Amino acid sequence: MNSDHSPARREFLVTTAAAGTGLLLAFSLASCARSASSDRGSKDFQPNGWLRITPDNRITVFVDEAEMGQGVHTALPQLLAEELEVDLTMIEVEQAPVDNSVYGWQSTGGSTSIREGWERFRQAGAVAREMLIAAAAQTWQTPAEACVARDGVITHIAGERRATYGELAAMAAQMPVPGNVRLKEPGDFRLIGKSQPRVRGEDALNGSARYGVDVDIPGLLVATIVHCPVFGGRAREIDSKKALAVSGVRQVVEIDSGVAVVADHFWAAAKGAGALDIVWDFGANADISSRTIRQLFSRHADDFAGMEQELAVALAGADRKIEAEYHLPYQAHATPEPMCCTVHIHDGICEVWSPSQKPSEVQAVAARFSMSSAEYLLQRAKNKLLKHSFDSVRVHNTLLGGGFGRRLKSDFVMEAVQIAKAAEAPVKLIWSREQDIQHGYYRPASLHRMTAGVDENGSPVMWHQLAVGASDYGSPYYDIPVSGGSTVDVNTGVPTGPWRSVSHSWNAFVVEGFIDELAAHAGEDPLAFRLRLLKRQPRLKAVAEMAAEKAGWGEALPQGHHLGIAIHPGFGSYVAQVVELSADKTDGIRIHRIVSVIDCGRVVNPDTVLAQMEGGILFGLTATLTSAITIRKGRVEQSNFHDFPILRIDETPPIEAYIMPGEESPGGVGEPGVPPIAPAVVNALYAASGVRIRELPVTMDKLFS
Amino acid sequence: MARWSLTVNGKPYEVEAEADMPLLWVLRDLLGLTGTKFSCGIGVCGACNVHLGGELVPSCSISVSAVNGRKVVTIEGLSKETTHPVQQAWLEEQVSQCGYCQPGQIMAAAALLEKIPRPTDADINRVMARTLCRCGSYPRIRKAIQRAAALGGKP
Ligand code: FES
Ligand code: FES
Repeated sequence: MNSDHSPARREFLVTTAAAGTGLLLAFSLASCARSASSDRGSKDFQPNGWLRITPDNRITVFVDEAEMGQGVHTALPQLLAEELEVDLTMIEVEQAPVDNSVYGWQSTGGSTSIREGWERFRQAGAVAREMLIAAAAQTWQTPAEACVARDGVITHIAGERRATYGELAAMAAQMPVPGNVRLKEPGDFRLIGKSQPRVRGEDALNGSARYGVDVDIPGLLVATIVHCPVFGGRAREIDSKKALAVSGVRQVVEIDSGVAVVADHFWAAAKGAGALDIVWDFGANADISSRTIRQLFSRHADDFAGMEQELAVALAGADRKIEAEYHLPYQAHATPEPMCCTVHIHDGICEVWSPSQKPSEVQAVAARFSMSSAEYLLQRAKNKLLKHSFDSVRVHNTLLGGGFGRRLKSDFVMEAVQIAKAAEAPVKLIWSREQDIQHGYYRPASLHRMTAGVDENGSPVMWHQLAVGASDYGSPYYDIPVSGGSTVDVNTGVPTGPWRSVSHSWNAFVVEGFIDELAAHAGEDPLAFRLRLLKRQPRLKAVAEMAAEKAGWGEALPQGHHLGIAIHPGFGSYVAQVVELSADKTDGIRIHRIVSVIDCGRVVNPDTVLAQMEGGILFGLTATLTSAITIRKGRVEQSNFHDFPILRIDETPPIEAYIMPGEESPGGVGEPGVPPIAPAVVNALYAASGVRIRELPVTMDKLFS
Repeated sequence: MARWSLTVNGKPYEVEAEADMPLLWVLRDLLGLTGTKFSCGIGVCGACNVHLGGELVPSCSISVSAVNGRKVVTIEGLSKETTHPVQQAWLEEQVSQCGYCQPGQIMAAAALLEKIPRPTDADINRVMARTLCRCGSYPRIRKAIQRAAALGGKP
């Protein structure tokens, strides 16, 4: 066998640690290599993960994925530790520095971290283990088979010799990279599948965790920004006299996206921002509102005549046609930590500290805005040629106070670079909450016209979703002979972007709401109706059955309580949720219990999966019950948590989250908890009241009008 | 600008600031104590919770002039080695997700247990409802408070 061409050989690279002592193993995640911009080291090799073992027996894993609460800084090292035969407590975890040429393109989103890291992190641990064993075998002049790795120590099976990983690290670095490593059988897992506490979990509990807003460097000034209240507008005249008179304010800077106030500390900057007199040029969007956008969507829907021939024929031949129209509003991410970024331009280098889900884009954006256009273009051309990234930009990714998709954008980085350049000083930009709520990249508002043709038994024979304002329609996973969808892209003037679970957030609502309607039309139990249409979806069917059983579907409920169910596949996982609630005019809507089941295949850290499900459900519940972004006169009407309320603890129902054991490779868990909760709630409300709610958020007047 | 004196986590400080500067920014930007977090700035989220003379207050909504001569405890001062029963319970229940709201949650929970060593669900709802968690760690917060109460609640 030609080991040079085995996958492990090409995807691992060994370098001795900086001082020539210890083992530094670089490895690459296939998906990142796809979009990496260059390579360095060996040919075609673009590592984006590192494992370092130093002679003092310290084991460090560098993770390129951003930690934003989803537990990835625990789960990925856990995979590696499993094969390296160490406890998670023996490993230090560090955020990998951002360098596109070394780590590949870094981006955290789409619930992909574990799905992509599953093989590579385990292989990395196994490769290092084999090299440590080889080093021990050579030292002791014994066959490798006689050496065992366990708890950070290699032992000879005869028992008379032992050496720690640290002692062997330098020598291990000289060993050939094994061509093929055997990964453990699941039955032998000691860590995978067992709940592990968060790595550095105490940091968040004693104030020592450092987020983007906490960055401090010598001479740091603090800035805040005011954007034109109307999307796309610009400042026409700025009178900064009063702002500059505020004690602590240093400078007022106009940049592409707004007006910034630079000060000694945030409070002075915020006061300065409040004292600015700005005459805005509102631009083209001053007249848009949620109402006009909805009218626009309706016009587009009315104009639609593109249903495929096959669907139209099936509809014509159906016994009955059922139609319904669904609406979803804009949603803000409302990350607890507002948008922020620190920039220090010095010695020809632009240094950036940012809480970002896409550090690689941060690097590119910082390069673009820290140099003149000519410089930038020249550098870019050079980089392309030499397969380098921008050497003049250094990005430090901090902890993220929530991401939810908002931090896949780098608008705040562009701003901080422009402000720091103008201020000629290190600057930390922090947005106010008001700016955060009013200048986001929102989950798009959308309208959906659903059409189904059903036969005489009420079974659907055709299904069509016309999605207006949304980038994507849902693929119905139910057994329906012909089904499809169409999208109509509409430019509304409101900036939009990915929001936790992306298109799944609207598609689950309309698909699971509408299938519930079809069940009602057929006069069937909503669970039984779904199950008989899920013959080709064993995993979905299984989670639906388990959730129903746990929730006591079909059993007697307390007086006035009703159940609703929704299921949804996405991100490689399958979820079912059942909501138990009561609703009446005096007490309003009261959710008594939520049962959730996920099949995410092989589970790495069960406790993290449960936490993500609880969190996803509550994130979704906020959008279902309490909050929405609405537009008036080109502006967002909400401004802070008083009018964009986040669900509170006293509004949080008991949640029972279950994991269905699975053997398949791991699915995502950060997002799949969000989509089913909204339809499960409206389906339960239908059971309780006979009123079908097709628009979010749910309000009392929609229910009792 | 005037001079103010206050005690934070048992240590006396003198700061020079405008009278209306909120305690939050005194802590974060003048004293470098960044454990106390900024999120809403208008007193509705609890991210900036501290103890002022033993009472729970959102530090973004109280000015430095109002804390002159008074004693403040922040998350950094709750315990030396993260050993306060609330912190311990938080660790055992693995409450934290992104962690950003947790200093505020912990300060609120510690204040609650100081007053009501055995809180009911209604007590928890009443006191904790003013501290928001966008990551949805509430089910675990509830469990952790009960666990901390069982541990004795106070350091
Ligand atoms: S930042 Fe003070 S209550 Fe929100
Ligand atoms: S843990 Fe993220 S906001 Fe509470």
